[in-house]
Amino acid sequence: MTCTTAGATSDGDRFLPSPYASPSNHSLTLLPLSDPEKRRYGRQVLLPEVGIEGQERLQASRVLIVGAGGLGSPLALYLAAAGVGHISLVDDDVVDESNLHRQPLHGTADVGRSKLDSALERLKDLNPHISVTTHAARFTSENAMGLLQGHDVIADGTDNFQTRYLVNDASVLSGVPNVHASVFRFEGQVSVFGAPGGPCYRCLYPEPPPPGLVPSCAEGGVLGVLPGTVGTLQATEVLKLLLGIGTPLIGRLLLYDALSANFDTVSIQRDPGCPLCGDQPSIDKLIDYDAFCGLEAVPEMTVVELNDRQARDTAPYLLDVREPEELQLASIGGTLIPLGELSSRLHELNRDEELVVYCRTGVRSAQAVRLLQDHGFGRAQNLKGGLRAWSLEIDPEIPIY
Amino acid sequence: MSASEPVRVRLFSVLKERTGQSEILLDAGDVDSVGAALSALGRTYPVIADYRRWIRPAVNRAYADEDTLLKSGDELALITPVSGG
Repeated sequence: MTCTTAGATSDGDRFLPSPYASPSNHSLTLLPLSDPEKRRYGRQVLLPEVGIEGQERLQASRVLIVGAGGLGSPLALYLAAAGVGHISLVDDDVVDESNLHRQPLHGTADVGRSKLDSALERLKDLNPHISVTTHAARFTSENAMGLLQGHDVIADGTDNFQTRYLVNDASVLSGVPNVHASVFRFEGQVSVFGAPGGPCYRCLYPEPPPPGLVPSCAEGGVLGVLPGTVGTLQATEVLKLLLGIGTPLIGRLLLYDALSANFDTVSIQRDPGCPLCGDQPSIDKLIDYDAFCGLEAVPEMTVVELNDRQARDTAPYLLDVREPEELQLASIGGTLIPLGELSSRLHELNRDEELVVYCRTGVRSAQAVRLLQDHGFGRAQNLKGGLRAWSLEIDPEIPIY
Repeated sequence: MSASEPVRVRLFSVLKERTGQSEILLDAGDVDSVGAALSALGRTYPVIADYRRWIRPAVNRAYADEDTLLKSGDELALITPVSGG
């Protein structure tokens, strides 16, 4: 498929494949810059690494940005300003007042509007020489491949693990590199995944953490400028890929800590055993959105129910999967088998007995219940909220540690 | 490196926040591998035990796994995914 920008003619077309950015079915058709474009991009064209040809290459490029929020703001603003000829935006959110401290793509007057409407208006004003397409939808396993088609790079500006794994999988399956960034409070991570020979997000983090383990911006907070810093680093990597210049963050994870003003780079390799991009991949299509995120719950018992059962003398067998040191801090009894030893000590437990597993917060014990289920313990349940819930709802004498 | 130099553990994002530590020094004689270091840390900081399965360790700025051996003076970075955007 040959892709041209809006209003393109075949006059003066040149064909120049980019080293990283062109999926095999997509080639760039370069068009000469107009005089207003030469004036606008002059300072960038002055760079020998860019030049007229690089600018024409940007003008012929297509980037899909998933998310028009904290990272999406600097991504969309700077890529549009730099002259990326076609930007596609996917988002299904509306502008909220609490977005404005970190999402300068939107203004106070936009509160309550669709983020895409607001973004489109801003980007058209910023650069009328480019085209912007908006998709008012969530990025899902149903629409991902269709949305990605025809783009040179996908930039992940999403705010949740489900969509991040989906972006990664769609990137690898379609051969379109994924410029990744994510933020937490004062810190950010940036890398390029799904480039030829490089690792993917799953090589680095094989599976998403269960819901609740890692706080979102809404829960954990975020310094307003942080996604700005990290999103502009991300936009820089997009431009490098499109231009084929410099050393992209392929095989490296950049860690930024705003508080200490430190940048760290950790090298990462493609994992030959990766289920997605490894030598014998087992994932050959997008996985159902909810199922692969560990959202399927394990059977649970609440602390109230456990307390009732104990009072009625029908208490289930209680298994504590914490570390021995934690036992000194707080306990509600039961047999102690640390999670790390559980698989080798299954013979100490009865497969037919009703079993309630607990830990400090319910996270380790949920893993333990999955492990027990996998080994035929059909009556294993997780104590919801763990000791912490017990302390809050049943017995405040049990310390929260 | 002198034999007495500790393993320097650096914590990022959620682990840093939850432990209140950005750096922890471990006696290199006590932890000979990444897995041993994670076990030792998990005993002091339960949050590290909670997160263990999702922690990506890096030794001396290169991606490592639990079997990677540690020696005196090594830097062990514990990185977890973050989702904000």
